[in-house]
Amino acid sequence: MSGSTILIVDPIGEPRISGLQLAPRPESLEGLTVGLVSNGWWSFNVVQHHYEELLKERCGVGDVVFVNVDSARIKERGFRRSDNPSQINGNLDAKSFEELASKCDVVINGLGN
Amino acid sequence: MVTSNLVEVSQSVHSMYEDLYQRGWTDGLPIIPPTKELVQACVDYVGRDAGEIVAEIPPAGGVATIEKVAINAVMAGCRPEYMPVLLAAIEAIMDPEFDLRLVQVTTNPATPFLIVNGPIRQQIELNCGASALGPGFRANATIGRAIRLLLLNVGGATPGRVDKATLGWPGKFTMCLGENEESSPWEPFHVERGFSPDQSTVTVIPAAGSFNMYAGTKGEFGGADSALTIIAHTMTAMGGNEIITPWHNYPVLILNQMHARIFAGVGLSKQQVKQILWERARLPMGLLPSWLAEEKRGCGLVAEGMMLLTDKPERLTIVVAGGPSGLHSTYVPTIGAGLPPVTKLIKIPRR
Repeated sequence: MSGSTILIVDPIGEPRISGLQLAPRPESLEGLTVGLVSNGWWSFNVVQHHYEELLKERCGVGDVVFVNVDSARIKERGFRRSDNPSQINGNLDAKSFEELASKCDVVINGLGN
Repeated sequence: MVTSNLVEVSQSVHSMYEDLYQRGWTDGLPIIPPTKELVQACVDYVGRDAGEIVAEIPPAGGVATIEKVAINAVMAGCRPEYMPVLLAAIEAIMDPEFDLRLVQVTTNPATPFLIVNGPIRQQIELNCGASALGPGFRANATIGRAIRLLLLNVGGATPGRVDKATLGWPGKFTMCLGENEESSPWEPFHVERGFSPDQSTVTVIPAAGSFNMYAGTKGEFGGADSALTIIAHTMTAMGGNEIITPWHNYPVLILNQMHARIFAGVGLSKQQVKQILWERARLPMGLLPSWLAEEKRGCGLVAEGMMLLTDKPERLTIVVAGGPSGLHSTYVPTIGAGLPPVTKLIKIPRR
């Protein structure tokens, strides 16, 4: 430490799990099955089928699988819309996770709102 | 013992500020340099191991140890004696009921609003009176700020990239007050929630704004009638998430002591005030856009052609704070989403 500097302590808290790698990315989506995970927000059901059209038209995607995030806690908390479950911040349940893993080559997460 | 990485920075205040800002370690404002000595003093105050894990803060899941809490507390300008409040506040925002992950990433401007009760308010000089939500008071300013720095530096809620708040609001820098228990005619908020008067607590609320209400008190019922009507109708502002979202929500009011005394003066308990506000905070269903009206019908929040604010008066939170003059109270809109207030005990270290 020189005379014109001081030492301070790093405030950043790193996650306990580190070193996770991204899954390999395909070079093309041609003919692949793509999973789309909806957070269940109101606007997503309006746009999700446009995503399907665009993925098929522009990227040659073979099929699209839709999965909604579910959250029992949200259900307990209040109400659900009959036509479009209003769920926010839920976690993907094990069954949906398995469905995506077994059917899809690629999954796009984090869409909505 | 403090073990985090040490970083060499310029001693020049301005150069250090620039450096730390470029590293993304600040909330945009200058910080106090967290030297090992200052951080150790905060760790020592709570008497717990520096490496003890307090939380893994979403969405990044960064590990908040006692030491990391202390570092960010020093940066925010906290005194060591604020640490117990911070630790209780972290426990509260990490409670699943608070849904911190949602609060951290949503487009809504929500932020943890800290309400402190009990003897610790005097011990740390936390402002409960005039300008309790304003500038000028170190404990209020820095405790709320330390929470924000932790949400940024440990939770990873980088604004714009992870924190997707469309606009945000200044309360996201800091939002902390104490209840003015001494000037309230009613039992303290934490006692209402099952704690004893000699315990200290912090309650967190996902606040999305602050709506000042000049609730005049001329007229009937000792002026209470007028004020209650004004307050009730402020709570029905249609764009608030309490109205827009289809959940059992928890509206929050910070009543000034004059309003509280006027209400108590005509014989109203806090619960009765909640009841009257709940009965008056209604909107004609015909005013609602059709989709919202349909939503409210689906939720069962309709009675005699009127939209109800929420399903029962007990969901209202009333806290008394502020100075002795002015008929200004505050409605605190929240993120809605059915998130209730969460209260935790502040554990004072034995000395």
